[in-house]
Amino acid sequence: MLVLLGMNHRSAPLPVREKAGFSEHELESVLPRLAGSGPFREAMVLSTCNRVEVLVRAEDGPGAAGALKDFLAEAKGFEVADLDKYGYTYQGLDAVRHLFAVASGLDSMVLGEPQILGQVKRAYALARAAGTTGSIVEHVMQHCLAAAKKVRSETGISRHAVSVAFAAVTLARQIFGELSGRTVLLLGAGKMTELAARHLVGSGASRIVVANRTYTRALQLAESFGGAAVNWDEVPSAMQRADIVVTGTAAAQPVVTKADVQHVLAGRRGRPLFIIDIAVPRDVEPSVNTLDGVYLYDIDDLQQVVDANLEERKRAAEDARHRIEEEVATFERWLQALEVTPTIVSLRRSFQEVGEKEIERHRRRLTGLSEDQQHAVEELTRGVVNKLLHAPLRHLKEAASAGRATSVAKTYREIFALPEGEPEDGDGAQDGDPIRLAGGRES
Amino acid sequence: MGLLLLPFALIAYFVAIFLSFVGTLGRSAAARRGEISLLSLAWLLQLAAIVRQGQLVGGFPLTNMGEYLLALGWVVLTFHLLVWFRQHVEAAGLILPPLAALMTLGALLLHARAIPPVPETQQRGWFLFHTTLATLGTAALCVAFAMSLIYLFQDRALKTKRKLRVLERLPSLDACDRIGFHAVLWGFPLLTLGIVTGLVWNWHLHGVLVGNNGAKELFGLLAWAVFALLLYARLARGFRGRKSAYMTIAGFAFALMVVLGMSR
Repeated sequence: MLVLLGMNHRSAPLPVREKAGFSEHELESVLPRLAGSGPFREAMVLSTCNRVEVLVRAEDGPGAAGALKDFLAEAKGFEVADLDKYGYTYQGLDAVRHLFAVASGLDSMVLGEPQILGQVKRAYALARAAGTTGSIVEHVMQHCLAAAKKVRSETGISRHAVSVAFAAVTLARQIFGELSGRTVLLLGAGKMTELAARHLVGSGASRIVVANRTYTRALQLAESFGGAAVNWDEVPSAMQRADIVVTGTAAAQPVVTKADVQHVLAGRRGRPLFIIDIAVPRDVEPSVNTLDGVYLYDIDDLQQVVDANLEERKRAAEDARHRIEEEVATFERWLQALEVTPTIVSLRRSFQEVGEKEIERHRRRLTGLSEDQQHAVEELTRGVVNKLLHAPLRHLKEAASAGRATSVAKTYREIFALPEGEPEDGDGAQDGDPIRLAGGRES
Repeated sequence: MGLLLLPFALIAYFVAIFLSFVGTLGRSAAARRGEISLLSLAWLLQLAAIVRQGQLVGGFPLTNMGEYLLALGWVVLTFHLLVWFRQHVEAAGLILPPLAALMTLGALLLHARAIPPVPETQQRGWFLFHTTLATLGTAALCVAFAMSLIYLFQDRALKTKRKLRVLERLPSLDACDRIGFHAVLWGFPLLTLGIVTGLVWNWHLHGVLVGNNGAKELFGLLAWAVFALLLYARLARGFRGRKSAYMTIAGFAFALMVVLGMSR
């Protein structure tokens, strides 16, 4: 069975999460230790600054969740009571559902944020490298990554920018298309302008020009982008060449007036100008937005865009949860099929054995027959066996897809006195063969 | 007239236009695929109708207003498909196919009206040259018109900071401006030649430059003047953006009135 023990930004405060977190280096030794201890057979750990999720496959039986808590408490110096207080435990399909939701970004602080999918991939890769994934965790994870991608692309959960800087980039793209070849002018060399510039450069903007009251700071920031610094009195000519202007000075009065921009526009040959004013109080006179071909967004405008987008994502989350339910159901069907497979194998074998034994028993009385006739008798027996098997096998498969695998399989084992546990399959079922795996679950 | 295929083409048009709205507003990739398939089908059907019409009249089928509208609708659709495939601008589907469909519908309705054929003269080839240029030019201006409309919608949304999410489904301002301007760059010379050849044809037929009522020539010249001014302002002064879009729309309106002023 699958057990997941985790804590996230909602369940635990940062100091607790920090304490529970694993570095990649740590995981190299912790994963094999975890997968080899107690009832555990497979393990994977996802550790980011917002969450720690420990997924294990354990032998069936009670106490797996408790053993996992003990392990984590011991590894990270927690009291088990703390883990109960700050963490959550999911078992079986609930664990799968939670994992799917996490990878889709439904459980993230910023709904639908994309990094988590990469982090889940990384966690999976680490567990594979440590050799602690078997076919169950492998299957869960592959299904999980595919489901997350599907949910993201087919619902609005990851659509629309939800940070101010990214909203600015989206708007810039809406105006200019590709940002390559575009020039960004920064007025003010503070944290916020730098952040906006990083996003713009990351999205393809080619040149960065920085103007600041203190020239040395401008130069410093410009160099970090491979751009150029200009003196404050050169701002008008720099603005004439720029496509995007980001302002974030500490000035109490607007540093860019409508008259300034009007003056600049005369030399721009009609190229559009996108001004992002992230200063409080504002750096750019609001009336600048009335000028033709100038698009002025202040921090409130951008925040409104972000808020609207977040609302949109919340609406999409509903849809995403439905999708995840569907994906979990698909996974469940796979699991159910896994559960009836050994019963199907045993049932078929037991029936065939009856047939073969009967033929052996009457072998002597068949000697009077020609070889052809002997074959015909064997064929006939096999045919009867298969006909008899047909209905129960179909019933088992249907029960599996209807989600009643465990109970129905048990009934069959009782009725036909099938052996418990692994079918004695001589021809080496490898680990990863569903028959053997499912058999393992029973023992 | 070989227009039996046209009702089917029109059905394909209208379903495609409906899917275009679904595809743009509902972000449905399936609707987009349906849209492009149906538009391609309409394109083929209309081409077949044009060819059949040519067989029936025994020549190039561009001699009266019905045939002109039939060809114009088809060229507009062709340009739309070109812009779709080459520039990946799908949003024009909200404007160009409806225009093309209206033209095609006009062709179908005019078909009921008996229109005298162009007099058989030695200059018949010249007349066909004139109508071909006019068709191509007007179709190019249709594209410019569509891009200007999208540009204005975008500009307004960006200025008022509302309906911003719809924008993400439209081409960027820059793309609208660029494609629209290219369309004018193609459309203007064709329009110019179309007007000149038309005047020459008048001279040949009636011995005067301007025909009976003169409306067609007047609107043609007005359209020409608007686009000439627009191109001059753009190339010499870098005039573009919103005002340029308004001028394009005005010029296109005049160019459309030429069609209404046609005598045959």
